[in-house]
Amino acid sequence: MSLRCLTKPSRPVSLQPDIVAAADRDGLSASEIAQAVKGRKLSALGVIEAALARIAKHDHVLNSFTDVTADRARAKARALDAAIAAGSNVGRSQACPLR
Amino acid sequence: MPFAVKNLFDVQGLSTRAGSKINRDLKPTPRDATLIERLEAAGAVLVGALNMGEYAYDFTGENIHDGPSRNPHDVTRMTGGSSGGSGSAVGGGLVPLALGSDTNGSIRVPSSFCGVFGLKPTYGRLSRVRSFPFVSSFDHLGPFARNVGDLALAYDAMQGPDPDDVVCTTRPAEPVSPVLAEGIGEVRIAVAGGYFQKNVFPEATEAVTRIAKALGVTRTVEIPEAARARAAAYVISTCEGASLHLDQVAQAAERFRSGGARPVAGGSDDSSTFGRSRAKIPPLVPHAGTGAVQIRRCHRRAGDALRRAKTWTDDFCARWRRTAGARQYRHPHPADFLHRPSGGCGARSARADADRSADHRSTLAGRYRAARGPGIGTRRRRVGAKAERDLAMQVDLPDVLAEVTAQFARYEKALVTNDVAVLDELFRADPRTLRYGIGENLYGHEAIMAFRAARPSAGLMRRTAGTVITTYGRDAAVASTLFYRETAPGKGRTADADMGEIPRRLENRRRPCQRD
Repeated sequence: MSLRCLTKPSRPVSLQPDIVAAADRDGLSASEIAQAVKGRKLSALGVIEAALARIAKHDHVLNSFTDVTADRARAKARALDAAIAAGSNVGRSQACPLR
Repeated sequence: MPFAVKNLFDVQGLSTRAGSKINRDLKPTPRDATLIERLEAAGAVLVGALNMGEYAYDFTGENIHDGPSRNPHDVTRMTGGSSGGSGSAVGGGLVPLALGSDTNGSIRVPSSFCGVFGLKPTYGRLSRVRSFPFVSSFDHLGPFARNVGDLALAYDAMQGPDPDDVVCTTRPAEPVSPVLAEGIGEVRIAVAGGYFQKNVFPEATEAVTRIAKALGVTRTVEIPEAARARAAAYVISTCEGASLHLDQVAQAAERFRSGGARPVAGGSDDSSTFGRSRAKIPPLVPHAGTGAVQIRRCHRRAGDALRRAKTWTDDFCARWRRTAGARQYRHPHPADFLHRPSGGCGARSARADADRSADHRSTLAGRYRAARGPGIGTRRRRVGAKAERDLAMQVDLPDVLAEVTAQFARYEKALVTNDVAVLDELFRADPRTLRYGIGENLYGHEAIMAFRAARPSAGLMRRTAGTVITTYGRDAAVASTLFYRETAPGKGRTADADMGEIPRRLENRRRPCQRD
């Protein structure tokens, strides 16, 4: 039996069903994001901007974040995109599975 | 891939607040926590720091300074804590990965309540360097994710030795991601019985049953001594937490808040007196008051409690190995994996049930402390009393036995050398102190002092044999011995008893009241 059977979140009973439902529908897993960025289907900056947008949209309700390090995150994402564009194989190696 | 961290991780340029008000005055940290560095080296991108219960002592996800983190499945319910922001950020899909910490359940509770996956790794597997501690003996850092694969990916990226964390493993990383594809065919799974099936809410029982059915699990095993383990964890958490925060309590007690202990929407923020704060600090600083004297007393109590806890835990572990635990380990078909409820209940309402939240937290706390193995608490308010009772029942605690044995030797020496000052000191200064001698019965300390002062110092030499000293808890002991005097035929007997009082403190132990 595969552990995949455990990966479905329980049925949401949300008064804000859009949050969880949208995450279920659109949210990529970490490995999917990593694959897409490595394959240049998504840019690292695009992924980070999307996350920052989700935080901006929902966190006033969820109150998850106490600090959003947007500038730092954008700088790091740009550096990653530059490395991929330059053909650095750092991001393609097993050492960087999360890029 | 974006990720965020509970705000007890050092993030370069931010003050590591650990959910508190006090820590906001700290200087911004110059360097990221080890786990952040490792995730970023693997290509992940930090996007922020997450809400948490104050100083990680919380099971609700409510923070009085920053407001409660809210459950994405139903925002009227609590996220669980103390890594509440980690649970809600991942559950709500804001980030696919978050880091949190778990001392007595702070990863397991919010991941359960928020419908995501959390990993509290084996103690020492992940470095805790540059994170704010709570109870170093139990502090674990770990990831939250929306599926097991992501959890494994993050875990693998963070594994590895770190010489700056003394408890961090020195073994090389053991990646788990490649193993996931193999499925669970040969893994032996059992449902945790006994303690873990008592005081559990129906929804948790149902969840356990459904998953057990899905996995085809039929076997139930019992973890021995779970309740005792829970008590031990409580005592240790109390002592270590107290020693961590004592200076702050002394200097800025009013700035602690009892974050999860009252209704979030109650607007009663002004009840920030030290007395009120005891709802949070109580286990940390029992009976604390304001003022330097009380703080010093707290220091002493914390030290005593820590010594007691260590002795008691050592004894517990030894007993566990000797008895039930050892049998379990010799079981011919042990389990690789124990299936048990994560929280003992579903996510409670953050407000309507707030008046019940103390009980709720107790239930949660117990599950987590008990689940950790040899380490662990009882129900919160009662735990202290329970632990004290258990301590009192222990026979021959090594340090107590050593102390009484030393006092016995001191008494014997003073007796044969007629060191009246020491003898007077060893008899409790109380009118009820008795001395039954061979030729006289004396009532009261003064009468005994008068007798000694008048007694000739010759002919007191004696030899003892068959001495038996037994201590009961920390405040009662009996010593008995046979003695032989060259000047008198036959033999005499001495019995010393040292009866303590409750509550007990080492420095308050009464002097022996003795017979000779």
